[in-house]
Amino acid sequence: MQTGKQSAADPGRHSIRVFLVDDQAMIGEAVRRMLAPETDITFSYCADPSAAVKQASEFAPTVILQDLVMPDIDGLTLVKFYRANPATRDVPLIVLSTKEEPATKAEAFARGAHDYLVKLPDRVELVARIRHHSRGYINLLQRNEAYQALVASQQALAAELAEAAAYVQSLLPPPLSAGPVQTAWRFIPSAQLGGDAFGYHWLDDDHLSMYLLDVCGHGVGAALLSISAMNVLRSQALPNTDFHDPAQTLSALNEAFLMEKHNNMYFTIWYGVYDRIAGSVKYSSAGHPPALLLAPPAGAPAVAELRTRGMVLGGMPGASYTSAVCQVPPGSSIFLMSDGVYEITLADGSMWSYAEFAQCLTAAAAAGRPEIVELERRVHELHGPGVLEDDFSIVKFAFP
Amino acid sequence: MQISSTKRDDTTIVNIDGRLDSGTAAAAEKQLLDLVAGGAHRLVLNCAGLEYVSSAGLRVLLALAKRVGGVQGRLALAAPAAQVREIFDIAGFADILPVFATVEAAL
Repeated sequence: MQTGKQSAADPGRHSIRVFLVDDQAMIGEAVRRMLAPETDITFSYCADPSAAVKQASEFAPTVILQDLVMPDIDGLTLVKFYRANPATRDVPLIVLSTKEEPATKAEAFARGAHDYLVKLPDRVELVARIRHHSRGYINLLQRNEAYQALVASQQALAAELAEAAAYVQSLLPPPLSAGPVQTAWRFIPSAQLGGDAFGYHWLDDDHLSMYLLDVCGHGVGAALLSISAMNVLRSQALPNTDFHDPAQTLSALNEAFLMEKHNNMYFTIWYGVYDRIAGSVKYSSAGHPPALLLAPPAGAPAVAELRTRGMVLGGMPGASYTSAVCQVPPGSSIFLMSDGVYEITLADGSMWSYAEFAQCLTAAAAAGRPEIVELERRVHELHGPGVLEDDFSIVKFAFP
Repeated sequence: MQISSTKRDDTTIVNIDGRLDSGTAAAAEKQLLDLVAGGAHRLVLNCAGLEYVSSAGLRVLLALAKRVGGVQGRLALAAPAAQVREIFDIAGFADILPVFATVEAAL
């Protein structure tokens, strides 16, 4: 929609602009004289109805005064053209006519006129009606402008979020398809940016660190904290900390990420270190769901939940963590996940449980089906269409 | 989610019913912290009607525990359902908050 011209005296404010269409020049002059004392009103006169729509589009009026009876084109037909033209569609229209019949007035309103004046009204009345209708139209313009600005900023924000989401995705490690440990993973943030993060990297030739963390909440704030924590782990940027020691790592991480210093956000984490020589995983967890170990035989895997007692990370200063060790015989798999993979609200309002999730994964493994694919299919089956309420993260570590 | 409270001697029993999640956490936190500000320093949270606690809900309980600790008070959790009890266990809350099977045992 074309906006009304802004007043030069007060940039940013719409001013009142009156557009008169009347084939009689004396009417044009009479209205011009009536409006002359109103210094904040700009007036334009069009004597040729065939040029009215074009000139009105260019002039951008806040109100149109339209003569009803004109040669060649009648005023009510012009009303239709104004309404069909995007630049004038919503401009209030006051019909000016010598006719006083109620039927004529009714037809004018039915065709889209906002007001009807019998020529020529008193100056005070004309100015009052012009100001009244212009005020309504200017309010509409300002509302539309505010909405367009909102849409533009939302689009800019969406573009920035998409870029941030792409950055987060780029930080996630590529699946390992060969070597002493092979990995697969699935990450579905519930909002464009999630609070889950995970990673794995070789600390040295024989030790692979493996971790998955879940910041409370999701969205931009949670994502920023999750990336911050993940980068500390990736770069091993905690002083006096042996990253081969899970309990020590979590203790140091806890002090570095106390929630009072991070906008009252805490996170849960499972952190483990695979020892290639010993064939074992040493691990520690902080308020995080247990990792799942599936050990041979393949057709009937032995299942163990791996977690240690420990407060959510950042929750309390001086919180202590412990490590535990488990053997991972060849053919074993360990799954790390966030609670978003099993805290699924079912149709009856109840919630899927960790036990049911573990059963789903184990059954897929026993049948030789890809576990994560099977899990995701089951979750979507249970949840139904729509975005999941929480971030969905699961990583499989296979030890051939 | 509804929160109501009754007094038993010098202990305030707070009943939390419904879901404590991101949709209800802010209101719950205000109500609970207002109780402490109003002088309720010994609290038992009756979780019998608590259907679910999300990470946002756990944050509320953490904030409450720290506020109660700050006034040298006492906070205990009572009668959580099995699924909620599991959430408390996994989150490590048993390390900082005693959890009892019944309200009476918590008093």
